[in-house]
Amino acid sequence: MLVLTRKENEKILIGDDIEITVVGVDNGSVQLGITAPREIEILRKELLEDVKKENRAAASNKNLLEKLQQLKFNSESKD
Amino acid sequence: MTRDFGKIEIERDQIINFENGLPGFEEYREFILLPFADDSPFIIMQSIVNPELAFITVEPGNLISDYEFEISDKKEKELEINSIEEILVLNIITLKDKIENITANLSAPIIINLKEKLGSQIILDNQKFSVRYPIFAKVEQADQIEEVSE
Repeated sequence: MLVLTRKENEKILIGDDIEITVVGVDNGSVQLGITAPREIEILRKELLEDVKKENRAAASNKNLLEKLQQLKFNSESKD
Repeated sequence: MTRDFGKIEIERDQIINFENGLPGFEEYREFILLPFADDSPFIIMQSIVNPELAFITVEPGNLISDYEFEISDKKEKELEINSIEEILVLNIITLKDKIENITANLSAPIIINLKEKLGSQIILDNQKFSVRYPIFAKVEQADQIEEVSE
């Protein structure tokens, strides 16, 4: 892993077309500006981890299936 | 073989291909959609290779009215989406012991191109959409349950 020290408003280039700017640092939080081609997906990593975790939780509730029968959506009664 | 419906026959053309699987289940790429029950809004998304792997899903219109997001150009290309009418959006439900704790994952909708039978779970980096959105506020328990509970 490469570790760099940057000051506010300084930039990092990754390859030819990804540019990361340190927009601000405030009380332990770093605000970053990212310029990248549209096809590059940018995600907070903990969100991906959270989705994985939730998918695993969702896949393991088969014994709760009968609960589904107890659920009815309000919107169903409206037409 | 399905988790919730025993053994069923499926047609090749019912299979939805998820090129990258789902986060946490990257190795499972083929699913079919099965209505949970005739009068139920829930749809079971069943792996065709692993009977034990199935997700309960629901169309977001049942849960929330202002659910809007953008599908990236890259994803549109990957799913070969040409028109909005071809796509089905589903959100995975996580059941809990208590009905009121049941949640839907609004942050990671499943996008399915029904025409091309291609699917993907995308992640919306929008703090407005929770990974665990409680759906209880939006549902009411069916009559028979009210009778059973004390």
